[in-house]
Amino acid sequence: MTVSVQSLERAATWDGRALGVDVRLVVTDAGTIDTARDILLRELDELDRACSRFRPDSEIATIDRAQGRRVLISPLLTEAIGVALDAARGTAGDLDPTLGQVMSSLGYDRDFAAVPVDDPAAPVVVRHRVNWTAVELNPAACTVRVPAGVHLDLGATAKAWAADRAAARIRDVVGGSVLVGLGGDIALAGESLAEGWPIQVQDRPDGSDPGDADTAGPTQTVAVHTGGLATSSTTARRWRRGGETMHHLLDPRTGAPAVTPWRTVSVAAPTCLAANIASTTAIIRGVMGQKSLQDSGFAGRLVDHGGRVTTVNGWPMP
Amino acid sequence: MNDRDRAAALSWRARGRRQLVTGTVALSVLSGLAVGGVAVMASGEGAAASATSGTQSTDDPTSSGSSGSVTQSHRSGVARSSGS
Repeated sequence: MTVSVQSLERAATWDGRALGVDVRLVVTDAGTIDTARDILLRELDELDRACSRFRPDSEIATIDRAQGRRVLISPLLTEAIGVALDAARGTAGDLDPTLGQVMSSLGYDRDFAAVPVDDPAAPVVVRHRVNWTAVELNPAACTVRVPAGVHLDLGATAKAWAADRAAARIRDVVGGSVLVGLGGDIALAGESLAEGWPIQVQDRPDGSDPGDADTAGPTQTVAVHTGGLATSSTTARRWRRGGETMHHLLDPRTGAPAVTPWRTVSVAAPTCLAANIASTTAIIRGVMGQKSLQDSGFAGRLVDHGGRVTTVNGWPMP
Repeated sequence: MNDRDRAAALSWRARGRRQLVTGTVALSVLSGLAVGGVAVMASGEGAAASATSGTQSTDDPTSSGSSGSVTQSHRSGVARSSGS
């Protein structure tokens, strides 16, 4: 068997924006970048049409309008909901995809770029009365039933899952090595690189300017060889509503932004999805987040609100 | 990469394979998903650590993974993971 080791010498990069986040695509064979980009954009467009909370023509919106009736959905959305329910099951409900209405009530009810930075109006209190176990998904028939008044939000898993899917699809078509980055979620596919993929892990303090390096928190570049790397942060999407600071990582036990000592958690795992589940769960679990991440076995890096870094499971020390 | 660094990297990769098994089991508990494999090596430290920042590791310092396996590199990142 011949083992091929790719390098970045002939790599090409494409940058864009989709699903409300920055998108980066890197392929090791520059001649395949156009094909790879087309595949990626098609994948992301299909996912957006299926899963977006903000598009009235999305399948998720159709489920919302069904008011508790069973709905026939696409195989793609069936799979996406299945992934979200698996994540909920695997985290004992800490990643709950039924928090859509709660998230909207806190003010995150449109593409984040359009969410008012500081809306004085008090948030409408919505009790999270049911949880993920109330979602009835029939994968064989591609149907789902969601209780009336409960809106799905697949944001905790769909993006990372999409990155894994797109990277694998691109690799299948163009070969070589592929990196797909969607916001903080990075998926790798294809043959290994001799020195791994160099990826900068960047923490952002509360209130920092994303474009200002001087206000950035602890940063580190790691080489990731396969799988994925995800970073979850309470500072990435913040807004104020009724005088209260909000972020998008909700604790399903309270229906409010998680109260946590961690502002940023990065995890490397066998898939981007697994990394994202672990990083987000570590933040939501608050003081138990570090132990949770240790128990996962995945290498991780946690940054607290004072900028102090803790690493677990062999994450390289800088 | 000199011999010492190469040996450290190989040692680290061996540990990474062991972690893969652990990670696979952990992930099956965590999310019930099928998985592949992953490895991470340090490749340099960026700038801008805040004045209050410190770094601590909960790894066993005598293990081969946390300290002896770091491969310094001055490559710049081809992608950034800064939270979403």
